[in-house]
Amino acid sequence: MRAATVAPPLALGPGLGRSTVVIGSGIVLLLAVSLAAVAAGTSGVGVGDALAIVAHRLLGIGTVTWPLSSETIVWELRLPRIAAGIIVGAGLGCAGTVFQALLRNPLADPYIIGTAAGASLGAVGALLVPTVLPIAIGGWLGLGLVQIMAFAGGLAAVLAVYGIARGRGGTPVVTLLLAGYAVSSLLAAGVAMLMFVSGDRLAAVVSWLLGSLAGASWPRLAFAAPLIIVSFSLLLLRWRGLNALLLGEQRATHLGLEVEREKRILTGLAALATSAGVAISGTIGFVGLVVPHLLRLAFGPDHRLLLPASMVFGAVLLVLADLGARMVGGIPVGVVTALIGAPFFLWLLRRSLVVHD
Amino acid sequence: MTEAMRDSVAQLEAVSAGYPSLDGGRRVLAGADLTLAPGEMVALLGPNGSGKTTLLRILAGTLAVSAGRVTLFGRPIESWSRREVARRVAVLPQTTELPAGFTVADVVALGRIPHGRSWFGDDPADAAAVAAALRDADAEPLARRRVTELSGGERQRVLVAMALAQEPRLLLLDEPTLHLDLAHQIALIRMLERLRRARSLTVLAVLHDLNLAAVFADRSLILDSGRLIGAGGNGRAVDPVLASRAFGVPIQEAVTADGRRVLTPAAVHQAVD
Repeated sequence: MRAATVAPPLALGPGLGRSTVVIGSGIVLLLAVSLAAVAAGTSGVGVGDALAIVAHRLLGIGTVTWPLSSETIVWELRLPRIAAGIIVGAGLGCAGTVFQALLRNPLADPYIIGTAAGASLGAVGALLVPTVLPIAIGGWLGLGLVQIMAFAGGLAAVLAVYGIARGRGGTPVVTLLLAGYAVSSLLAAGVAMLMFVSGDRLAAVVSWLLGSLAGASWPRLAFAAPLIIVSFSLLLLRWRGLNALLLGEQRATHLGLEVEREKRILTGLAALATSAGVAISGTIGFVGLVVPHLLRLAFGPDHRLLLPASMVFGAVLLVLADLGARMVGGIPVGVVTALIGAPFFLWLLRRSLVVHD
Repeated sequence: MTEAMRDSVAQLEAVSAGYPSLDGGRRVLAGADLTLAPGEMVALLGPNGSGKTTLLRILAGTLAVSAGRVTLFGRPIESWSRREVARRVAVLPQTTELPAGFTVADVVALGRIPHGRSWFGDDPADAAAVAAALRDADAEPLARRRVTELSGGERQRVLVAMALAQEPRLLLLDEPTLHLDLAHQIALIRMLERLRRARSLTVLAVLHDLNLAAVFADRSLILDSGRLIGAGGNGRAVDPVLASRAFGVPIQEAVTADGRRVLTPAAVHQAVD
């Protein structure tokens, strides 16, 4: 009986072919959005000139037929901004996917266990230092005190949360979430206090808190990009552990996972990517929450596909949102990510309700 | 090391274990001994809270003992890595949450995680093991179904298939017949019996139904005050005297018209009378 039944070979997981299509189309989309962002702007640099400048600087081809000011706008302003959008968006998308799987909580995003609050306190403190203590901080690697303090603050907050939540028998994720919430609230109180005393620097503080890619520069990218690329490359290799965790920690243990060790590694890598991103862009909301959800609804929960896809589409969303923000007179990019992401997300949520009924 | 230990699948010697807590904790096992031979089918019985699940945790390597020795395939259990244990021992806990959005084949493929080598997981050996697991657990027709669309009986077959995908030599089941109707209970027991022979698998299952245990097992072990009692043998998988003692309820053995032994709690009849 059984031998007579010829079934087509069973496809396991997302399959290399399907994954290539999803990631490939994401990369094509990312290139298209990036090209649009290079060419678009209010400063009167033509599309042709913009592309020629990029080709000239990257590949050394073509002859210079444009004014030097155009080259400065494209190469020193627009391109670093796009590159920052790609790298920060990819980091946030990936970290969001990891935290949602690790904490088994649909509301989890890259900021949930303290990174945002810690980075905010660090950055806001640094912003106010010149008014309190007039110390000249040299441009170490082109980084200001704000970026360094934001990065250190984000990591320190996660370390503190993890340390508090860690018990003898391990680190329960519910405790991790609650400790993250409490520590974030405490740090947010510090940020609020600093805002209260900030006086005429309030505008700068609010602008940082809303998140922006306007301050992107090659030196800042040289700091954040390697950290983010290293952390998400290592995260990409850990899809088996994340898939096992979908069944719960007990079952993951039965499948051979050293669960506590895995949790530490995943938290550390995701917090590193998030803190490095926040350091150069401020706290841009929604990308790390909505991108993993959208992709999970569209392509299923397998992290083999989910992790790389959340990087590529996180980058797409952030570059697109930043382009939109520039077009609409420089409104905060975080507002745009929510404006684009939320309606699309709600539409997909409604659709999935219909399917699963 | 004795001959029996080297050949045994798992062995417990004078094992004590429990759960530490602020008020001193609770000791569940106290001096338990056990030897599982290859290809054996053993039922684990005992009242609620007697340590059945604790015993399974120890054998699965997820709970450290406070005293005594645990040997797995001839080596101290501490010397195996988590992953090495998962390639040899599969566990079916009382409840498993199945992630929405996965098909049955996807979930069964998760059983390959301890064997995973290739970076993307498209190994032909994995595909073959998953196909064999689906076939052996009668879950082949379910392969493309979504896990959220399964009945209780189907779900249990899928979980058995996932355990088989680990290619274990020891299968531990915690009340596998829970929530199953009578027909599905019997189907599951028959399947385990068949798997044991086809895959020369050692099976240890926690069961509550004494008669099911009597049909299912070569022998049964009863947990009584932290120790394992009752070896079975002499044609009986479950000893009514030992069972009475462990459960604190008089249990009678009756013989049916066709000569089979049936165990019934005497108290039920007294209550009805």
